[in-house]
Amino acid sequence: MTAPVLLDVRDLVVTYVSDAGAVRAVDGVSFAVHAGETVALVGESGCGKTSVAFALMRVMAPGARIGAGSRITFDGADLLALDERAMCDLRGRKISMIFQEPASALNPVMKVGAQVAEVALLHGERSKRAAWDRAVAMLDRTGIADAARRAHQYPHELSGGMRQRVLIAMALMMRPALVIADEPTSALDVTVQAQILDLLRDLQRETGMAVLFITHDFGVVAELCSRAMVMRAGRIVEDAPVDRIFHAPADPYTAELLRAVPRLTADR
Amino acid sequence: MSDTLISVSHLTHEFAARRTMFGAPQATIRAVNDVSFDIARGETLALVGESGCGKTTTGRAILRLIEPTSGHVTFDGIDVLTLQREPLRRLRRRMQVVFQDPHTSLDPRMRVGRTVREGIEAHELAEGAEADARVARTLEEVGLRASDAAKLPHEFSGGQRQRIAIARALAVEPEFVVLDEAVSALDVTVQAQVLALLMQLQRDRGLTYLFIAHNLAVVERIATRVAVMYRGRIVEIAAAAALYSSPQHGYTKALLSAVPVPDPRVKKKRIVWDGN
Amino acid sequence: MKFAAAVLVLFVVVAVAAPAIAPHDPRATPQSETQKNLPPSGAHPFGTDQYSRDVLSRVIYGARVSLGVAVVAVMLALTLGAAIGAVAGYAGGWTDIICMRVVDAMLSVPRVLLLLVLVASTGPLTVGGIIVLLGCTGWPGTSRLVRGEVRLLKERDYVLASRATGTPEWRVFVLHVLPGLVPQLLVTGTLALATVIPLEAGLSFLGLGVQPPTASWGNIISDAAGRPGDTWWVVLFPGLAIVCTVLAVNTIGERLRERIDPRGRSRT
Repeated sequence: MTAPVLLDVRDLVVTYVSDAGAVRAVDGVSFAVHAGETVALVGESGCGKTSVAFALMRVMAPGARIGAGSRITFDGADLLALDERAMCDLRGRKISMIFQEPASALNPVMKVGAQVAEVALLHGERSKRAAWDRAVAMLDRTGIADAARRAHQYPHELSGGMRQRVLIAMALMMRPALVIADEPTSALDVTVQAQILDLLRDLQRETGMAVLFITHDFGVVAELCSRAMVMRAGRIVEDAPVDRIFHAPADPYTAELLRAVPRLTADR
Repeated sequence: MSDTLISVSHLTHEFAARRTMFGAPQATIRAVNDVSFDIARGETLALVGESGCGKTTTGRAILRLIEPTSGHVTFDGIDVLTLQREPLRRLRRRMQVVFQDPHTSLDPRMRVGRTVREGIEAHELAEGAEADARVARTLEEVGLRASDAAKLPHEFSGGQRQRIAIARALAVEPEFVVLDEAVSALDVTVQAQVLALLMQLQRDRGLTYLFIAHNLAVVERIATRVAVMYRGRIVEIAAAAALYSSPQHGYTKALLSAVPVPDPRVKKKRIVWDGN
Repeated sequence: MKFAAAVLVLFVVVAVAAPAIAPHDPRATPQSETQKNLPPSGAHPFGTDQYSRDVLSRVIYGARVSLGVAVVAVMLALTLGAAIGAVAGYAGGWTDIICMRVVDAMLSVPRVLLLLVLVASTGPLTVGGIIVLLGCTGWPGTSRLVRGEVRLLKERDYVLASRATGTPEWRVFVLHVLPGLVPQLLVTGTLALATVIPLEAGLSFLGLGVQPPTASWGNIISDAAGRPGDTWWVVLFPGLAIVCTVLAVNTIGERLRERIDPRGRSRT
């Protein structure tokens, strides 16, 4: 815990307002992410973990509101006080996000190389040629074989795992200090998931980025993260290093979740 | 084997990948390629593989929800694939299915009671108050309340909806149920509960399951035998204990090694399968 | 939406209650020359036509015929279209190919042209004949829409599940597929009304539709003497009735469509 605090979230409240009334999806969540750290935000569907991610990126669903008392500080800046232009500049450059569904997060009618290059062009790169070259280099870094040729392909020509690598390339293009990964492997097959997890681990070591890993899967948490925060019904019920979470959970809900995780007898 | 309930032999199913302008298939993909296995009465055969391996197509071909290109399926000595429409419909009382996604497998406009009752009426197993009683009994058996019959699917959580889908399958008192990724879409705590329910129901009713799954860890407890599918073929089929303790095929090994271990102290060696 | 609904309700009430509210007999042709082509006045708010008939009464009775013909013709077209589309979509194979080629053929000829040719070959028609004619030329669009919807619906898991339960095929269709078509049919039907009303008016104006002395909005207009400018009231009031109804029906149809399909997926 010697690394400086990169992201500090205090009393985050996210409310969804609809005709049926207001629902508090996130109900007073506080946590910090240190530079270079890989932290998991774990919970079951509907616990509010994705709402936290969207609030951090300030990409809100219609009807969603961040509570007045909430504070999000990133790298010393008050995120909730930034205007939209400053936030746009931050997104993709300093904080980026990897989504769950690589199929829908990519533009189907744009070459994947161009989509990765676009990130560089948005954040100051002037030359299209240079942006393209950087995109190819980035695709290569994410383990896409023959990246120079693949960059010319469209999303539907790539496998699910390959598409997820493209999304990772887009997220890491600007070497952000923080990557928010929202269930990035949940839509993938287990063997592909294993490869993507290995890739994320390698890239994290290489770049020193911090990762906020949002997932429902404790197996993935154990593989990748050093600390885990367990969420339930809009609140964080436990926040501890993974070894404590897995071997001496303090909260009964954490223990219950862990008991339910399917595991191979051979791995016990 | 005298107690074989289902026998699948040389099952093959081809999809048209490309068609000519007149609709004739020009190129085909073998989604299921020469698949054979037997399922004994009362056992659970787990059919495991990754997306696109043909496991779901196999399950649907056995139930004849799709017409396979070639091969044979017998159910209790009956040749399923050559049955005419009406005998096939009657046979469906004995073989049922539970799908993966309980949000799409229930008609959003139909009350739960009518959904569960549909099969009872189709097979004239009961009518009037007797049918109501049977619906109520089945709902209670899967852990719901009899009063839930009057509700619509959107009033339930994912796990509860999956219980409704199970009730629909059980209401006609089948002998065989295809569980097509029936717990994959559920949260882990709910998944464990639904798995326990399925095992309980199997003991109570002597059911035979074909459990289709993509995660070997999920089916370990429930499976009697496991068949591993890869690109349309069964690459390994063995008793569960043997398959988990000493997998023979390279792909099975890779699949087992890819299951993440929910324990940060354990670092598992990853085995990569290169496709040969 | 509310205003449009109010306009439509007003016209429907007028049509239903025509005998009670019409000040004169719409077919009465007083012999006195002094009653011809009178401009609007207290006795005849919409004036009289060249046969001395009261235009207001004719517009009121015309609502009966024009709306009645349109509604019944649309219902006929919807029924035919839904039946053919459902059979094509549900059966697939050759049935589907044949049905859809017939639809393509019918849609390739402009409907007005088709109607003109048909009427020219049959000669003047009764009101029933016009309904059949409009109904039988209106189904292709609907059937294509219904076919698409049915093909989507029949692959739904709950339809498969119902079939797997052993429910007879026709019951699967009635229980699970048909109810899913209702919203789409409602929208299509409403929008079809907006096409059929002017079609009937046009035919009647040309003397090929509803035959005098029975009043329909279209043939009232054709009873203007000499140049339309000379007896503008005979043209204006039935014309306004047509425009208002079509606008109202269109507005309602669009709103309904937005409600069942907020993203406008089913446009075109």
